[in-house]
Amino acid sequence: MSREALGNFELMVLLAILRVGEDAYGVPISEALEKSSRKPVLLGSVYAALDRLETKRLITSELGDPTPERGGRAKRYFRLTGTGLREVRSAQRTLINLWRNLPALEGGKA
Amino acid sequence: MNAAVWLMQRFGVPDALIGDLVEQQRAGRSSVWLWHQVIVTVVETTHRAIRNQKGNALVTALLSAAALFVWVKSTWALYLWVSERWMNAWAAPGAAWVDGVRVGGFWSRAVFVWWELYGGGLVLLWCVGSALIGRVVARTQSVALVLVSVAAQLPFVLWWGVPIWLHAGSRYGVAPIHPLNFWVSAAVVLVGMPFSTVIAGLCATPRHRIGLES
Repeated sequence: MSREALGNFELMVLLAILRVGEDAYGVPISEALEKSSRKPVLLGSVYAALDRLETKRLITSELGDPTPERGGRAKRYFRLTGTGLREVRSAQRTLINLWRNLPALEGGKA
Repeated sequence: MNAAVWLMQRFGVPDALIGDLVEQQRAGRSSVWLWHQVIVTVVETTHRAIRNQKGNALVTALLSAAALFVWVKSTWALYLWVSERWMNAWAAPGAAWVDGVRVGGFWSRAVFVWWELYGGGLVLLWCVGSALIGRVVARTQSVALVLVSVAAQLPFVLWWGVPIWLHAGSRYGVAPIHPLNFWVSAAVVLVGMPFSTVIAGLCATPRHRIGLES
């Protein structure tokens, strides 16, 4: 799995899954993304990213039980695979290295 | 909400995603929010389906365009045959010329009403044929591919419909009794045929099929 194939939004989705933890299905994942980015998030786009990540074997998913508040539809829970976790760590190292010693970004302003 | 769920099911949106949207709406999200989400979801799902099945999409588009072409050309040929030969032959002595054909007598007028009255019979036939093609495509392929077939028919519809619109009434070198007839016909061809294909395709597609899942 090459790092180039991991897009910015996909990385954000991976981090949101990690942040949400055990209860990581569509709604809390998108809420975590909205909270962090302070921008509205489209569930369709989140699921498109989740599908791509699953195809790349960076995450796995399993269905929960159907619930009445969802019109009898099951939740689909996501979690990172070992490869997914390694990709996140690798992306973190890369970004930290790129961020380091950039005068334009010092002090958190740019 | 029911309409949104119906639409998403027809477009093969995964049940889990539909459930998430239902849950969010029941938690107090607005209808505007819901429909924004639904439209983007449908577009995303359709785009993914077409990208995953490029070959099928292309074949479906070409076949449906060819079927539509044959359908319109054959009904148009039948129209000319009936209106120019039968109607002239059936017209009573002293019949008047109307839109290029002679109209006079009961049977002549009856055929005229069906084939000429505001172009309704013909454009209705075109829409029905277009809808049948949409149903056939939807049953063997997917809703996304129905959309591809609609995209494929648009150039043809423009080629056929726009000239009708622009040259309204000039076909026989005489002004039509009601120029609006031609504009209505062109509008139905331009809009009605693609619309018929999509609606028939949506209705014919069972839930949870489609191969839209990546």
